[in-house]
Amino acid sequence: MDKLKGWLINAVSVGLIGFIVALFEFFFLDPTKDLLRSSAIYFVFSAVIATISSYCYSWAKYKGYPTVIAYLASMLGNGISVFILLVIILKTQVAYGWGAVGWILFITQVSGFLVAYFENRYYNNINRQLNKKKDALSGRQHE
Amino acid sequence: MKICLICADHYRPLLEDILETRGFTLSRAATLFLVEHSHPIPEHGVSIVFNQKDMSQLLTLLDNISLEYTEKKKPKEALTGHLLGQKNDRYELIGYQDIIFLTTDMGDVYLRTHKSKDYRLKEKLYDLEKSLQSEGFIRINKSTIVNMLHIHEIIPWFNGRLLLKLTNKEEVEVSRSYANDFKTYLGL
Repeated sequence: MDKLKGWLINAVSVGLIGFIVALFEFFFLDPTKDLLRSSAIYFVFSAVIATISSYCYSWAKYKGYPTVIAYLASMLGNGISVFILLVIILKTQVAYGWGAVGWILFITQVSGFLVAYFENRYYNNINRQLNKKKDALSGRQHE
Repeated sequence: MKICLICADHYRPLLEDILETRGFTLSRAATLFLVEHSHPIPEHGVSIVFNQKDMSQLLTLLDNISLEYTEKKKPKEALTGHLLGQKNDRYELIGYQDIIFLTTDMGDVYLRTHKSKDYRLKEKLYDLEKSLQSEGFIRINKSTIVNMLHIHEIIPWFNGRLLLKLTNKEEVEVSRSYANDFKTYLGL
């Protein structure tokens, strides 16, 4: 139950970015758009991009793969999930053509890359701090 | 230790020196007396009568008294840096540096060392959390306290949790509710 709650909190917090994008689009770019529908779509997209990218990065690191592989895993996972979302669920290729699918995939790949980049910074930072703490503790024990 | 010396005047400087070098304080108010043979023995207190012809016995006795007194005066050092763990019918002292993590199972607290041995402890996890915090141990979830020195790698895990790979190849999770405290402890 706790895990589900955590997952929901995570998904909602990153999904809200999509909601903000939908609001921006509605108020500044295209006021004729169905705000509710685009909010829902963007919400799902941003939740998927952030969650899948982050999960794939963590999984690659957990398996002991180097950072480059972790980035690639993150982008691959992200690409596959967005592709499924676009082609199978939303049928974007029917409404806007394959060109639109390609562009959306490209944009989501950039987003996925950014998520992996920040995950990597966090990973390096937390392990650097761990080593500092361990040095401080072992230094104190040798005194 | 206070001592009162009763002896011939020509022996006094030598004996005073012997006593002072052994940590005794000369005082007339003392209840321990060092009395030369043939001198009157005080009626109160404890008297040690010595013969100036055999000083070696007196010196040995003074050395022993002095040693025992200094040992007693020393504050007793608590057994720090260890926990007393029970495995089967045996009790063993386990140094903090050998403890990888402490965990609870069915209300009992266990600790794990590099040799994958589980020792049962008498202390409660909550008490251990407080007493071991300054030694580099930190609570990571409801049932586990981990030794920072035995964390090999931290992996950001799903839903704001963290996965710790330990030096004994085991993995433990830092739960969401303890992740913030853990990061603060690391200085993040």
